[in-house]
Amino acid sequence: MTQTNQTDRQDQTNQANRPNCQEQEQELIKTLQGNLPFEENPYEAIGKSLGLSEDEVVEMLKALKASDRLKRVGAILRHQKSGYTSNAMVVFRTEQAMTETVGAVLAASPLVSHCYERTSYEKWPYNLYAMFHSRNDCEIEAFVESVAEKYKITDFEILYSVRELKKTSMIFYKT
Amino acid sequence: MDDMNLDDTNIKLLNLLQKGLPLEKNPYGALASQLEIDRSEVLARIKDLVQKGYIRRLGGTFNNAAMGYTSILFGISVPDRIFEPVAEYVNSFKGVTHNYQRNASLNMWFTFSFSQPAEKDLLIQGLKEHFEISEIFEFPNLRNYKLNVYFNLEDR
Repeated sequence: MTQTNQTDRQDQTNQANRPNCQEQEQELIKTLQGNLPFEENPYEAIGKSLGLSEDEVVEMLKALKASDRLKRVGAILRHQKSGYTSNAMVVFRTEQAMTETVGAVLAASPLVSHCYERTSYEKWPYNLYAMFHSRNDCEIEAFVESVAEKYKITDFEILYSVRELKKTSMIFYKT
Repeated sequence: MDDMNLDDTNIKLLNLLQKGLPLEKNPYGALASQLEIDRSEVLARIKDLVQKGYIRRLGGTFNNAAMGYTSILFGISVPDRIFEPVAEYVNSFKGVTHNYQRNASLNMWFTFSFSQPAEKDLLIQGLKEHFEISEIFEFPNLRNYKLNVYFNLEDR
């Protein structure tokens, strides 16, 4: 492989003049932000488009995973389509000493996908947030009420999503 | 259309795809053996599930923080009469990945990821100056108890 200068690198297209590792990695990340190519062997197809072998693509994927930048290569479902039509953000105000206990209880529920402790304000006093998904509202309400009763939580709100205004994945490198 | 239209193989496939493809050569070959179908059928089923809208996207999911980004949840109170233009303004930011209208005093909730604090300042400034929105709350995440966007389609 020959050394290339910056100008060559920008418009190089063949395998003889490859961009450096960091650029290759950025190209791979850009590709992965979209859909995998509809090919029987997607890593090989990605490799082809980036001038890499399938082995090289796999090595780079593993490196991205090892550095915790890549969570996974997988499917994001349209959950409404899969029967989870009831989606709510539930917010609780818990006593500081109870937050961890209640957080763990919420996290253990299969209805909950995300659970976070967040900053609270005088006008919005809730500190514990959980995202609920279910096939019906009743299931969410019954669970939330049982948790509130058990842990003597008087302040909580169930915020159903009235409308999805946007849902996309993050784009890290501008194209 | 709902989940009743999914056969057992598609349900298993969707569960496997949500967990993530193997980071090994020939990933659909591995799925094919697990599902006891041909690799060509794995691809055909994936295409169908994407086309029918069950799969929103099949690709990489990245960790914002490890990529050098900060993500903050915002809750704001938007008057009904300007709800649509505000939604359009907020959605115009690339770093806004999720935005929901909710039934509460804070009726618009969105997540914003940014690498420079100036990007966040710009978004807030626009809300205040163009739309005169005063109730803008930032809810950074202080502790993560669970992050698992996995829908078990077999558990029904």
